[in-house]
Amino acid sequence: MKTRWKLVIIFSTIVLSVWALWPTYRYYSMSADDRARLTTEQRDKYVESAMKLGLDLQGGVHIALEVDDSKLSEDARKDVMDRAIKIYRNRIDQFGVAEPSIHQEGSKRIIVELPGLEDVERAHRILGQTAQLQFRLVREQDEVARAVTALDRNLRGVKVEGTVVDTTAAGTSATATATETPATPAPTAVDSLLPTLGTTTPTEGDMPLPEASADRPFTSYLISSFDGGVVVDERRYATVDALLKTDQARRAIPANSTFLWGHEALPVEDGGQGRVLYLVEAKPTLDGSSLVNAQTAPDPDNPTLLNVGFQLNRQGAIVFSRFTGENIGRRIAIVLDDKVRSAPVVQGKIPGGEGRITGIGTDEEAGDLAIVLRAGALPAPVNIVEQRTVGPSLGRDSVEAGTRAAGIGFVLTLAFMIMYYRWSGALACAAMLLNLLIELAILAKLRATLTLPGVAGLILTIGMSVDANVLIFERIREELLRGKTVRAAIEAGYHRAFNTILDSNVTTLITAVVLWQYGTGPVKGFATTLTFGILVSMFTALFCTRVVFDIITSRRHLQTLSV
Amino acid sequence: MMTFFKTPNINFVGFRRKMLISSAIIILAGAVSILVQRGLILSIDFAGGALVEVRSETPVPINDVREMVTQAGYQGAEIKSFGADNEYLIKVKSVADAESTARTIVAALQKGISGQNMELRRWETVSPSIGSELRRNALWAILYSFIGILIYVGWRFDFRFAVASIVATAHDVLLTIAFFSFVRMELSLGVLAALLTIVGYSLNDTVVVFDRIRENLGLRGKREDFEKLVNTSINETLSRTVVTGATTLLVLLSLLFLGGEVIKDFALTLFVGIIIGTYSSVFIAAPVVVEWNNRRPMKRK
Repeated sequence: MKTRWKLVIIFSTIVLSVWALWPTYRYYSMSADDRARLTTEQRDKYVESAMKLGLDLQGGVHIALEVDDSKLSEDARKDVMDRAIKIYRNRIDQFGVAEPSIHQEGSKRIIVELPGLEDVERAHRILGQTAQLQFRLVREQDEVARAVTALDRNLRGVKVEGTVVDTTAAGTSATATATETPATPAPTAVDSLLPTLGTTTPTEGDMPLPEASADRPFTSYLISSFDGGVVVDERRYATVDALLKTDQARRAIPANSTFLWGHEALPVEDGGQGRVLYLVEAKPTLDGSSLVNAQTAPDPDNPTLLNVGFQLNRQGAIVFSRFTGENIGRRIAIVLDDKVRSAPVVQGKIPGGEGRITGIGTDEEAGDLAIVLRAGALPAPVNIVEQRTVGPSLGRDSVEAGTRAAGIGFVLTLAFMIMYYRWSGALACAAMLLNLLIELAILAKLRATLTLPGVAGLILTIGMSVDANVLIFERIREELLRGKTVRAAIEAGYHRAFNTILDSNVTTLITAVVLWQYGTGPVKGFATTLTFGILVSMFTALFCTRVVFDIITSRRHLQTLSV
Repeated sequence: MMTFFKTPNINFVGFRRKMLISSAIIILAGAVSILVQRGLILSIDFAGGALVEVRSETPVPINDVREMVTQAGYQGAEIKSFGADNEYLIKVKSVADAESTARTIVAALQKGISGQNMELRRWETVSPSIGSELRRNALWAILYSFIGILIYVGWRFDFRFAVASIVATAHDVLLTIAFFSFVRMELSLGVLAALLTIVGYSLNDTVVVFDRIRENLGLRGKREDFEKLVNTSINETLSRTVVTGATTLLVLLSLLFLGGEVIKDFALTLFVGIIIGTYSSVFIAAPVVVEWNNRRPMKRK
């Protein structure tokens, strides 16, 4: 190939690279005000063509969720991931984050990245909720009494973590509980405590911590009961929950009923906190799949709180209307993700298929709930297994530190190479700069995301990519020492170094590719830049520097070479 | 022309035994150190847990930060100044519910310390299940790259060279891990990436020396004593070994001191690992081939 054509290749590579990086340069050198002034169209264009910065560089929330498909049927398991991802897309679109990224990793994991977001609480509300809405009929008082009595009978001697059963003083303990908390009504008591919940001010530490007595292992944890359930001392929430999950407890409860917790603790009359435990029908009458819309509304009864109103589709409205008509005077539990939000008494038939979730504290919380309800329920519960949030100030600092380290690293390498190899050293450094330029251009064109470990990989490339030229220069020196002419020494140097460069780079490539394959997140970003760094260095160090040597030696008959 | 060595002729192969033994002693010491400390210190990436990084406007006593975290219910938390003296890092490891731990700490921090607002810089939680998966993946990654190298070097060179390069690389990984244990450095995801990079770099370095041995074997393998030939090859490539090592280390120094707190451990691991990797291609890789050849001489082609 003629030198002229080689030069054309090099120059067009440079021009192409600069062209590929131009939008990136423009976008990131813009001031925040200028960026804010962009039209949506212009911004989309930049977003599409400029290099993406990782969350660790621009700030944001990274969340890994694991889908718990253990309770699904074989059939439902097949497309559970696709369905979950679709619903997440839907939720996040409504939530309104620029450039979100949602993708599957492995067989059960979903990675969601929300750039620019810092409020992890909100990310949790949007991503962590299954948003399974259900309506269940609440059981009546006599059924609650029967279940509670059966629980006391079945749970005798059953121990779970947190139960403190003093068997030696069983009798005294039982009487003590009875005398110390005379307010504790018998399980059959009729008084409805629910209306008083939320009206009294809690005075902490007033109530003695209830201990289990041997003959009343369940009811001794209760503060009171009402028509539809019981109230458990909040401090014993975990213990009672564990008790309810035992086989003995399951046998005590009729098959067509189930206990569900209220979604939050409430202050009770004697001070302290209580958690409501509802006995509800095991089969929901209606679920969220018939929900068509949801939106926030002020709470008419309490101006500081908010409601989320929802509408059911026609089919749902018919079922709901019949259901409410048949159960006037009874309680219906509105259940969200297996927690009872509220259990109002049905005043009359509700024909329009509208309902509401009441008593939500903040605007944001209500808005987020409306979003997840509208987007639909996830096909299975999810667990957040990893969460990484970076504030914008740390991201900015990292970009600054990375740029500074790269700059100083380059200057140090340049100084060293010039000191050691003179003009040839400078040439190697020019090749290295070209390497960086091409590598960044490739990353921008591939729409890869530049992360902090990626930047580290790039900086490492600065030091390592001169290696090919070092190998060549050492060979040229050897050949010159053997008395070859400058031109012959260059020829032999490139020729003989080629095998070494190929073998040594392939071995590094093998490890970089394995790293990419097995690494997650940060490791992957690092492996990507390392891999491209090695590949591009073959072009810049072998091809480009050779052209320069060829030009120098063809113009003049050199006696010495600056190497 | 500037050179570090004018036609060097150092008898590297001559004191290979001493070097092999000292390396073995250091690795053994590392193993003892790991046993005594009951394993390496794992970061939350591997152990699971919560990490919160905050910054105050002006420095506050670190004891005030500790007091606050203790009041939030986490006496066992690790608290240290991070980078600048108004930045603090709080870590709670091996908790079952990392999410709620982090939330409790963040909520407490947001109330401020000593009347100062705390800016939330970074906040991470990892469940222990992720950590064990990462550990498994890292081991597979090292194993697979070893297999890949064994095949490639075995094909391009000779099976003995392939085994020797794996021995040298394993040596580098083990020495670096021994170093972690000596200085009580925490093993994080970044450190792991650095470790795998060391594998790549060390192999690269070793292959350059092997390549020269291969070339010299072809040129004068029949006439020259194998041990001497290997030693000449190491000397001939010594300049390159040192120059490339130096440029890489220069860049890493810059990354170590200017690259920011988040990648400091990564840069430090690489810095140590590259020194070890350079040492091993001279003192471990080629000498292993020599030892092998002395016992069972290679067939000369």
